Amino acid sequence: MSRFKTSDVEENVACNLIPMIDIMFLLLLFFMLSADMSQRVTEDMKLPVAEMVKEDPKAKEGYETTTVNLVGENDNWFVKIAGHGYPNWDDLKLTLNELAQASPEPGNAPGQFFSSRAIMLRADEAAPYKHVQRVIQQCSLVGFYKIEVVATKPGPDKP
Amino acid sequence: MAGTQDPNENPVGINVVPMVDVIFCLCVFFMCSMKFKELEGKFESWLPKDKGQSQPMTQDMPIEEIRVALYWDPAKAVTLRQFGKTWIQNDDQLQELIKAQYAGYLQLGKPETPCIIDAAEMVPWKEVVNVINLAKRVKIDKIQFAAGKNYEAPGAPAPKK
Repeated sequence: MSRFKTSDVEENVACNLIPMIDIMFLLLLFFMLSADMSQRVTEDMKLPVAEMVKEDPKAKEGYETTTVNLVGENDNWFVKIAGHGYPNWDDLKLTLNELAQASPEPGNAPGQFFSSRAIMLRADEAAPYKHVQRVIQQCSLVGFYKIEVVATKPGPDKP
Repeated sequence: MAGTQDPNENPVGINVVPMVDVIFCLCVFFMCSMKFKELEGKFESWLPKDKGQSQPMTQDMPIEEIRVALYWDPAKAVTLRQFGKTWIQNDDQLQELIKAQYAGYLQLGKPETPCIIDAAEMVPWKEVVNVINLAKRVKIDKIQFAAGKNYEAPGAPAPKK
């Protein structure tokens, strides 16, 4: 006679995956919705810090905005617009001119041209001023006069 | 939805393990690509529509401006700041000087006196933005950049690399 009584019913020890799948779907949904696809127009860079900046540069103010990024390192600085690099300043001028001509300001006097589009200038904090100045000059020459300088608010890690 | 995995209840069992693998991969992808965007802001600086890059100055024209000069010392790789004839040691000193001069113009009824930033070519952009920030702290609305070399003029040399 056996000392231990064997069970007639075979226990089912399968792991129930359904709750885990539910949670994973929720996580997936969260990450998908929080993914910021608008970063395609902005480049990764270290922006200068200033606490007096007006917050929320994405706020609609009745005019279109083009983000111009001045990126680089050492002595190699160039402009990037919507992910496209412009190492040649003449090419940049052509592109800026096309952008300006696409949105003329109403009421331009004969013989002068101004664009209603604003330029959001995002320049790396280490960029030499001469390059920033040249970008502003080019914008001014093709008719942009609304220039917005982007900076970050100081945070706990940025005094 | 979540339910029992009793084979008697649902005789057509679906193997969910590959789906879990795929969802794991998607989760990892979105987690890695997720970036906490830092809070950005902007300074609006409308360029003048009715002026050229520089205005001719006459000798009898009074100077009504608050000018901050920024120089680059390549040997020490530091920016030197000058306000009038005073060399600036720190931000507080510069802010006080700007504030005092602007208060003088306010008393004269000239709140539109500009703060002009006259920076050398190699001065890092963050130093220029820092001066803009100091000027904004003392409520100066009109901030101007001194016209430097005109790189777009015919025959002008490209910026030195």
